Amino acid sequence: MPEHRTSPVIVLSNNDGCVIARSNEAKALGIKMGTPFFELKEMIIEKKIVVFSSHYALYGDMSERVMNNLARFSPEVEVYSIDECFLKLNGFPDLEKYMTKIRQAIIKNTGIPVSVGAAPTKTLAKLANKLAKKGNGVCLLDTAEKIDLALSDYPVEDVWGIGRQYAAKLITLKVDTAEKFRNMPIEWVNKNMSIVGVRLWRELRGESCLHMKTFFEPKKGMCTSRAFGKLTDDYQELEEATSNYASRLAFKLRREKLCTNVLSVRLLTNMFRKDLPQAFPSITIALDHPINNTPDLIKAALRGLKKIFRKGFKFQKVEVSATGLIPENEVQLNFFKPYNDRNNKLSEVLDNLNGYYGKGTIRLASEGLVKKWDMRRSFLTPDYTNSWDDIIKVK
Amino acid sequence: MLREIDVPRNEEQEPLANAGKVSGFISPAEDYKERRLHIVQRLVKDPINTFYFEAENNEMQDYGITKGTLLIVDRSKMVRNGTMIICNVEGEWLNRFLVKKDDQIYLYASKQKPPINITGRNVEIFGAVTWHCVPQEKSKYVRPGRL
Repeated sequence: MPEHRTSPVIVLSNNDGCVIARSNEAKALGIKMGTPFFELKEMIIEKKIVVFSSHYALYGDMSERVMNNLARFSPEVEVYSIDECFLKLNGFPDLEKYMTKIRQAIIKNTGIPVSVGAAPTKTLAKLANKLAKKGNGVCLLDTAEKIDLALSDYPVEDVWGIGRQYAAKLITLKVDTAEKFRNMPIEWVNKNMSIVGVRLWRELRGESCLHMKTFFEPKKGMCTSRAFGKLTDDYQELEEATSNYASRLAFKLRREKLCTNVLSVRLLTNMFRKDLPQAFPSITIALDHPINNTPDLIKAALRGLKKIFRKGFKFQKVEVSATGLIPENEVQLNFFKPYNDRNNKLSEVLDNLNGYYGKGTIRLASEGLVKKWDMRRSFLTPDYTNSWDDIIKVK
Repeated sequence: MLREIDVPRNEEQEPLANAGKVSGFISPAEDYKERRLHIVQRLVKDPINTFYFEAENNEMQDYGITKGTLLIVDRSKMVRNGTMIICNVEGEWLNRFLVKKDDQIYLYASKQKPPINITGRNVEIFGAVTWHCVPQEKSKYVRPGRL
């Protein structure tokens, strides 16, 4: 919203736990990523900080709008994450001008400020992007001189793909800039930083090792987990939450046309509450038959929950995950046990009804009616682009 | 990555999945089938850059925009002198005409009221209004199902 343009703004994680995004004004106040929300309560009042809960329905839609706009500028596009995208710009003349054009189009069409960095490799492009963010939003590293200059004072820990551990290791060796890292002998990199490090090292030298991924590899595992709005030791609440997550997992599996062989359920207490007893019980269940239907998955998950549940612990989170994913149409039958596909048909009906009338219209009773354990989202913005009730009223 | 837009058919309104399929005499229309008109084809040229607003009062009624009117905004459209726009003036969302005259920028709503000079004020232009739809019935019903 325009009225917040000059205010410090922060966005909180699911459950309003900690800070996951900050406006420049909030950064200037010294608020760090991951700061717990409760630690900021006084500062928020004092500095008039604007606080929002995460609203992924809205962010997802805005992201898709941005990505589609970007995709109009290049035939080869890799959407890397909700807010990062690679475009192949080979063959375009006057790149600097083209990048400015891209940036302006995105800002005009979506209102989302973006920065554009271009270079011969992905790692260098990410680096250019970071420099663009600090400058005028566009940064082109197309010649050896420009690249050398950019690398000379670029902190090694900010290089894309250099994790905290490698960064610490490099810095103790006085390799604190990207340039110094690039000048390390290949043998050293090979020995100390695995193949990933070697790729980065080569990428910094302008040799492209990370190619554009324009198709999706089949998923190997899938997980649904979210922290509850409050800690709970109530078995029934845990049952409801587990059912919900299993149901969501089943839906995701069906959407990707996959089935699972193995289901894991895990309970977690809040490890930051040192005053409370801690437990992280988990179980992995091999299923008789690969499934993706809601009733069977919930049944299996609840069986797992029953086995691992322990009294006297306040749990914060339940994780339901599927490993051993296989395509729906390659399912093998169990030689020893018959399989009744009645529940598959039921799930299909479920998906159709929920797709038509909205998420959660029809669900299993074990998922519960009132989600007492549901996410806390006290500072949610309206769903401006996804709900007719939430569109902005003008005078 | 792309949003799934294939919502199931509204079976109450469209009970037949394929009404052109006949069991007896083959339909003479079969070879001439075309896509039925859909209002969205006219109203939304660029779906990913289109946003919707609603008029809260009758300020723009000289131009047919009354309370409850749906405003369609295409941000990819150029905003020029005389364009009907949605803008935010110091926190307030407004639907007005943008008028430039002698280096001054004005917002204009009706023939009776003088235009407001917004030059130098904190104004953010959201985009150009491409269509407005005035409902002739009060119902706020949103039809579920496929377009």
